Order: sequence, then structure tokens, then C-alpha cells
Amino acid sequence: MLKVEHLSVSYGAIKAVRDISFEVGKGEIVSIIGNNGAGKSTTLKALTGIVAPSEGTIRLFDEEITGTKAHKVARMGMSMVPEGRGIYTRMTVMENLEMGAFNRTDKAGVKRDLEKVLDLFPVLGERRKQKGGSLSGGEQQMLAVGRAMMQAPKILLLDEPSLGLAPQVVESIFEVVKEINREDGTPILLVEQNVYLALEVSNRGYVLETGEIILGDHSKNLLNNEMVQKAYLGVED
Amino acid sequence: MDIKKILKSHKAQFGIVLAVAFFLPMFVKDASVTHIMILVLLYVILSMGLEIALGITDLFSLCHAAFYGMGAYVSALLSIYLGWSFWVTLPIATICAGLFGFLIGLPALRTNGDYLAIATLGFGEIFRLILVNGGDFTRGPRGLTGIARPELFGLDFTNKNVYYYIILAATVSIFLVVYNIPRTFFGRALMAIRDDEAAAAFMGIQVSKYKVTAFTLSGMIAGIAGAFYAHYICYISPDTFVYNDSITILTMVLIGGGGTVIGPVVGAVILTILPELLRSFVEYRMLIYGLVVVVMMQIRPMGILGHLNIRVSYLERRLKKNQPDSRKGKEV
Repeated sequence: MLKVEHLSVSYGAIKAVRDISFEVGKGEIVSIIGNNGAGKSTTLKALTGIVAPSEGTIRLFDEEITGTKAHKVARMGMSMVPEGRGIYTRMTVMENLEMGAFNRTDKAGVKRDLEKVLDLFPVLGERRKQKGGSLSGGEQQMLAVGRAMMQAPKILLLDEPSLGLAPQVVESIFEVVKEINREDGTPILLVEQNVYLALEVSNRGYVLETGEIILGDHSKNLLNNEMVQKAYLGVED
Repeated sequence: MDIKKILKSHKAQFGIVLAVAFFLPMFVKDASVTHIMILVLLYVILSMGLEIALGITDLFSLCHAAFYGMGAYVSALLSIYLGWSFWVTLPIATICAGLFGFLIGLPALRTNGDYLAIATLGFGEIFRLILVNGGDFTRGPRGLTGIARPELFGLDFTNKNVYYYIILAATVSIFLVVYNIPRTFFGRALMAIRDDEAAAAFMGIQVSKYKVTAFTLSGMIAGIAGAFYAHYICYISPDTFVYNDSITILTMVLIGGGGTVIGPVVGAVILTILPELLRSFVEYRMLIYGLVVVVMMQIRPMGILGHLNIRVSYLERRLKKNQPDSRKGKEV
């Protein structure tokens, strides 16, 4: 579905991402884990067309999208839950959700998806007339995920959905992510600092360190990998 | 049901204001008061224009007076040199000011916030310099004189009241257009861009297109005000369309509450009438004016009507007592 080959991204003289390759297959949940400044968010920015990569190719559904503008990538079915949630703070919850369906013309489908979102996150229904900015962090994250679902994504990207949230909230959001994947077979690319959680829900994972992928394996193997345990899971031997 | 109620009350408010605006000239015998009323309407139009760029889209534009001037000069020049009727020059002036807005909107794609403010400030200054150095064509700093008043069905446009009603009609139409923008797809896209540009792009919104359109519309509306102004005062000079006026209009939008559409109208009315009321304290006028702005920004930084929607829904919840106040104890 999504295939990235030899991708490099530079900010001026600084290379944030160096020659990374990975892919997300049909129906898969793939996680990219790594510390602050490892280049996780930059990778997602390159995928979604916010920054242009300096080298390499990105292919989405067998079509090259390297350097394609963000709105075009979005219209192709790539849906993004940005870091920090990217809620429209001065618009109501309902308006936020409606923005997800901005480019959709299938009214029946939009209605069905809206019902699904309100079903998964009942709190959004209760808050429908409230401004996005007045929601709590967890509710905003739910809104961001709900808004992405309203896009009827063919592939879903999540940038640090656990950031700054209470553990129970994180858990319920990950439950929903798994459910989206299970129900519609939507492939998901998850970028996380919460390594344990990310590897728990994903099928495969990549470890990103200072702009390079140093490991890529099935999540189960990564969880048992000595180096991952030491560096990211705090397991002492 | 509740939405209907609020809409209804908006409609009621609108009707009352319109009725007052309509009948007011019949009780006003003083021509200078009518003059101020016309100025109020012109500034309402101008603030409506800026509301699209600044209030709804958060594009910090400091060259609104240049759009205003563009409309005024195009209309005046066409009328003086070619003798065209106001009803022909008005749409042309609108389009030209819109084109000007479009051109200024292009750099807006590369800059944001403070940088955009500086860039637009520069454009406004360039526009003024072109007018001043326009030679015989724009008659430089002396300005253009003898601009014809409009003619229509033998109505006497030298009569201030007649002019007032024409501008009132234009103001009401423009208000209705701008008022409805946040309810359209177009307006939703602008608001999404305002709140989070990247997140707007993730929804498939072509940010550049919408930003430029916002600037174009903003310019067009200012151009309309400019044309009406030129053919009302019958004399225009570069001094009328300087940086100061951009700031005044900006203040109107911010004081009233950007993004609320009704707020900028309130701001325009207050900030046009206030300096007139303070005329007797000439020396202290700007001081008091400045003080009002500073105090306003301190006590209500979101503007007089800013966040009105939240307050209404809060009241709504209070009225429905069985529903708890959901804002209590929530981290924001």
C-alpha cells in the first residue's frame, strides 16, 4: 500500500532523515518507534507532503507521490492524525468532524461514518456544539481520530497519539485504532515514543535512531530484542 | 431546536439594527450627522472586507487601505477621464481592487503572521508612493477633484440622505454575504486554515487557493467602499489611503471581535462615532482613542463579541439544568 525507498529529508544543511526504506502492507499495522529527534515526525511530514524529500521515492497504492502537495495526498486517501492533534480550536466538535468529509460526495457514506465515530466516541456526541479548543486533551485526540475516520481513509497515519494523555485514554484510543484496522482492514502507520504500546498493537515495527532505520522486524521479535529492551523498554539484565 | 432559536435571535437583532439604520435619517436634520452615518457605513463595509482575511482566515493584512484606495482611484479615474457612469465604474473598481488583493495574496502563501503583516505594510506603502508619484495621471499628492456623483432614475445624489440609502443597501448586501461565509464550505475551509493550516491540508483543502481567494474577496469589498467614498466626497488624495487607515480598520475588526462577522460591524460603528464624539477634546482625542484600545485588549482581548458562540452555548447549558456544566474541572 505504502512503499518508501531510500528516503532522505533535509532542513537546510541538517539531514533529519537519512536513506530510510520501509513499507506498510495491506491490512497491516506498522509502527515506527524512536526517541525525540529521531526523525519520526519528519518522516510523516514527507509522506503527507508537508515537506519535500531531498532524495528517495514514496509510493502510495503503486503511484508515486514523492513531493506531491499535502491536499492531493489527502484526496488520494491518506489520512493523518497530526502530532498535537491539530484540532480546529475555534470550530465546534461537529464542524471539526464535518471537515473530515470536506472532499466527500457520498452523503450516505458520510452519515454512516459519522454515526460510527459517535458510536466509538460517545463523548464527542455529547460535546458536539462545544468548540474544539474547549475539549480536554484526550477528547481532542478522540476528535482527531474521529475526524480522520470521517475521511474514509484508505491508509491512516498517526503521529504520537499517546502524547500527553492519561494511560486509560491512550488505551481506549489504541483500542479504537485496532478496531478501525480490524473492521475495514485499513492499513495503519503508527509513529510512537511509547514503544511498548506501539509494539503491542502493531504487526511490524521499525526502530528509527538519529534519522536512520536501525532495525525492522515483527513487533513480537522487537519486543524480545535485547537492544530494544535495553534502549526503549528499560529492561535491565 | 436551540440552533434555530439563536438564528432567530440573530435575525431579530439584524432586523432591529436595519430598522434603526433605515429610519434614522428621517429624524436627523443635521447634515454633518448624516455625513458621519455615511462614514459609519463605509467603515462597516471596510471592516467586513478585512473580516474575511483577518477575522475568518487570520491573515494579518496591513494594506486594507490600499485596496480601499485602489477602488476609489480606479472609479474616480474612469469617471474623470472617460466620463463613465458610477454604475459602470463601481464593478470595474471592485474587480481591480480584487485583482490587487489577489496579487498581494500570493506572497501570503509564503509568509505568515508578523511577516505577512510587514509584507502587506510594504505593499500598502508602495501603493501610496505610486499614487504620489503618478504625475499628471493621478495628479500626485494634490489628488483628484471633481469626481461626479452617481446618477440613477433622476435621483438627487447630492442629497446626503439619498446617498446614505444607496450605501445602506450596499452595506446590507455585503453584510449578508460575509455573514453567511462561515456557514459555507468555503468559509469552513478558511476557518480550518485559520485554526491549523497543516491539519486543513490533511483534509484535502488546497490551502493556497483559499488564502488567495480570501485576499481577493477582501480586496473586492474594500474596493466597493472605495468607489462609494470617491463619488461621495468627490475628492480623493493619497492621504486618505495610508497606513493609518489600515490600522483603524484593523482595530475595528479586533475590537469588535474578529471571526464573528457581527463584531467588526460593532467595532466599525463605535470607532467611527467615538472620534466624532471626542471632537471637543481635540488635543486628547487620540489619547482617549488609544486608551480605549489598550483597555479593550486588556479586558476583552477576543473583542467585544468574540467567543460569543461559546457564551451562548454555556448559557444554553445553564438553562437546561439537568445537564451538567461540562466545562467544570476539565483541562483545556
